[in-house]
Amino acid sequence: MWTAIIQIGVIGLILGLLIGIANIFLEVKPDPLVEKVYDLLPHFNCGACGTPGCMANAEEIVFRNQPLSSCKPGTQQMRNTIQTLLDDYKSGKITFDK
Amino acid sequence: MSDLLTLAFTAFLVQNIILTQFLGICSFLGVSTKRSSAIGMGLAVFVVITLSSLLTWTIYYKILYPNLIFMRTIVFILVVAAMVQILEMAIKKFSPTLYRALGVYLPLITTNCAVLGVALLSIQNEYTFTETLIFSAFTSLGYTVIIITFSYIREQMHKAPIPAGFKGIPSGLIAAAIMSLIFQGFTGLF
Repeated sequence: MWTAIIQIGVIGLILGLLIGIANIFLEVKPDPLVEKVYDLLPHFNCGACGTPGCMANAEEIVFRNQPLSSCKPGTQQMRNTIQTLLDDYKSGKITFDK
Repeated sequence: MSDLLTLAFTAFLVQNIILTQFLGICSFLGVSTKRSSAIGMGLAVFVVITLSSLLTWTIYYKILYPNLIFMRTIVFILVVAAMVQILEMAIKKFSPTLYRALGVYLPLITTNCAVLGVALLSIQNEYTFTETLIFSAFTSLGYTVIIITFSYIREQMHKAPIPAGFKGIPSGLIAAAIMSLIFQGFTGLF
């Protein structure tokens, strides 16, 4: 039994290390504005907006003009905050370092 | 040599993974609505099946055989999951459009029975390393070709005047059943 446990542990460790190394080479830096919008969304990942998860919806909002009302569980206050953020970014009031 | 050729054609046509063995139906119906995403999905599954079958074969015969063969299912799942994770990162990095088009079906390759099925079948049939390579490559090529062909059919069906109740998945299933009947005709070819 112990050999089985050790072997599956070692295989899992090697695969985990491989994924870790792959993550260093294949890392995609998320857009800072998308991250900011994502932070403001409810993080329910409910899918009511029609996209798989809040991260995808944040991308839709930033890049493809998805209306903020698409987020069903979000409050009106959250929508206003995001709208201010987007307006500030568009008018150049705030900028992010890439 | 002729044995390998027979194996290749059997895996590709006679024992086609989708239409004869009915493995991997979920992603087959889910991603075949659009040609571009079907091509991407077909290639992703091709890469995952071929590489993971070779990797699982090596692990089975070099590490698990002969004392720990009962561990094969869980080890194979582990290997397939890790492979898909790395592939997902690669697609996200090099083709964000394809990443969005595949959506949830990309991580779902992890639980695609076709991937685990090929890995287990090549062990069950006691293939050598070369045979496993041919078997997995042509089986997954069969998947790729069928999903791309089917996406063409579904794009045409999209334009056809189909009753509302049959639109989408139902008419897709009927078309898949007819294709499957045609593929039964290959039985006994070799």
